Amino acid sequence: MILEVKNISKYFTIERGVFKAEAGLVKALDGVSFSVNEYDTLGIVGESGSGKTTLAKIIIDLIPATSGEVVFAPELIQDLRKDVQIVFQNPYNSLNPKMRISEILSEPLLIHNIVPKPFIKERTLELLRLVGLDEDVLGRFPIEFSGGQRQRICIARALASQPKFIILDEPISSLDLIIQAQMLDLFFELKQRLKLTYIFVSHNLAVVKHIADSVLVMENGRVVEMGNIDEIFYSPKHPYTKALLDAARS
Amino acid sequence: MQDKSLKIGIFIIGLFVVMAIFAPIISPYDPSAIDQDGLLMPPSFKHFLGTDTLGRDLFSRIVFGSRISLGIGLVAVGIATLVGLMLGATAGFYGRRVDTVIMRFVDIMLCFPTFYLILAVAAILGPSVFNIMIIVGLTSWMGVARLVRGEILSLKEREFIQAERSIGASNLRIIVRHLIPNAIGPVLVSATLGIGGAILLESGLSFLGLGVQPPTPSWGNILIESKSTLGVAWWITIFPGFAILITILGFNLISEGLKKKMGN
Repeated sequence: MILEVKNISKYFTIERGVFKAEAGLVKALDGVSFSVNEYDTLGIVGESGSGKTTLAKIIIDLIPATSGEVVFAPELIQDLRKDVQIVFQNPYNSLNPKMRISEILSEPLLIHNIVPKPFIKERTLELLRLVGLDEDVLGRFPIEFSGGQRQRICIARALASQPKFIILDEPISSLDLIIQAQMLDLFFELKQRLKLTYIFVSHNLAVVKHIADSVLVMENGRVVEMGNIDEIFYSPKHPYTKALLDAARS
Repeated sequence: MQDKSLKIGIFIIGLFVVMAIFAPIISPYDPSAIDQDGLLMPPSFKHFLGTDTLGRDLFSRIVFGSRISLGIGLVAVGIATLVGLMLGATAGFYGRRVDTVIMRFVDIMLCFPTFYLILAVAAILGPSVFNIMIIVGLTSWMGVARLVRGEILSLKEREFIQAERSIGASNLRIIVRHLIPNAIGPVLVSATLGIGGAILLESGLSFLGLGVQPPTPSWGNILIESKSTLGVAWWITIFPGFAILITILGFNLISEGLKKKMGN
């Protein structure tokens, strides 16, 4: 077991007026628990607003949880910022528009001292090759690339610190269909080559089926069903899972 | 069209900057040299823009004055931008209490009638070029701070900043390498506009006698000396006034051009 999420809740209070009186409580996540085994891919599925992205951000400690605990296996994950990475949904928003690709990719290398300084360029080239890009992208800016290429750059950046665990937060849903298929292949290949563990967040059960070993179905901040991919796909128990399946098949 | 205003602005300011840098070469006379036989001479071939009440060559004085006036404009705005950038970025980035404290301080500063504050401080510290740079700079950073804070507030929610956090970038690194470079555009626009404002402020101060002190020429104090002779020697008023006008126009054109360029 590489990750254990214990009873995570996240509440947002709605404040009103000058004195910030509490006007309401939004339960973005409500008692979510699950675990992930090493080298597995866990799919997290749910419609927009079901709390998937909030959960991803809590796992990687970008926002604090209201209650509950995220525990990484200490023998596998020593430094959260190095060993666990995230790829976001929108590649148009995930790269600093003022930085060249070479700078974007060398940042994690510098921060974590992955390679000695003279080898940084070589390492960034390796990373680019890993995600299927040529070295001529190094001197260019993010605006010069398509969504799919940008997402490849985001993946290269995530891989730079040699992580063991990557959270993919709807990494392909803003790309067109052909690119989506290519990206799924890339994720699969990288997983094999680098022995990664994934959490793959998506609203599309059909996509998750291609890559996940087990699936977590979320609705309104709660886990409604969890199981291995075949169980969920061929004998769903919860009506919400059935509805998602119908949506994926149509 | 949009490129034109930027080009014209840069051309005008470039001209004045060259004038300021090469002042000793360009000016035909020593700006403080008094010619007792040539008081209040109208523009002629000998004195290109005429002479003032002490017989000093007006053209030379305006050329040397550009050093002072442009210098004050640039340094004062430099200080204001630096202070505004630091405080605005801090407020926007850390939010909550830090934000409240800094922004209330901004509000307090904005409540002062700036010109009278500058006047009072200049009167206490004594008028000198250095003091005026500092005073003008430290009383005009509030706009920059507000601007930067707003930019940072919206930028820090962007996913590339979240991505930076997840690769373990420090707060300082995020602010300096990622937030500020993306927020700097509008700041540059307001800074170029601010230089014009600072030059005008210096002129106003000098006009009231609390700015740059004679015999050092600045456009403002050349103007004040012309006050008593306005009826007989129009050139002493018109030319330095014109220099101020053109410079501010130049900076405004640059600012306008930058704004349009960034809109695309």
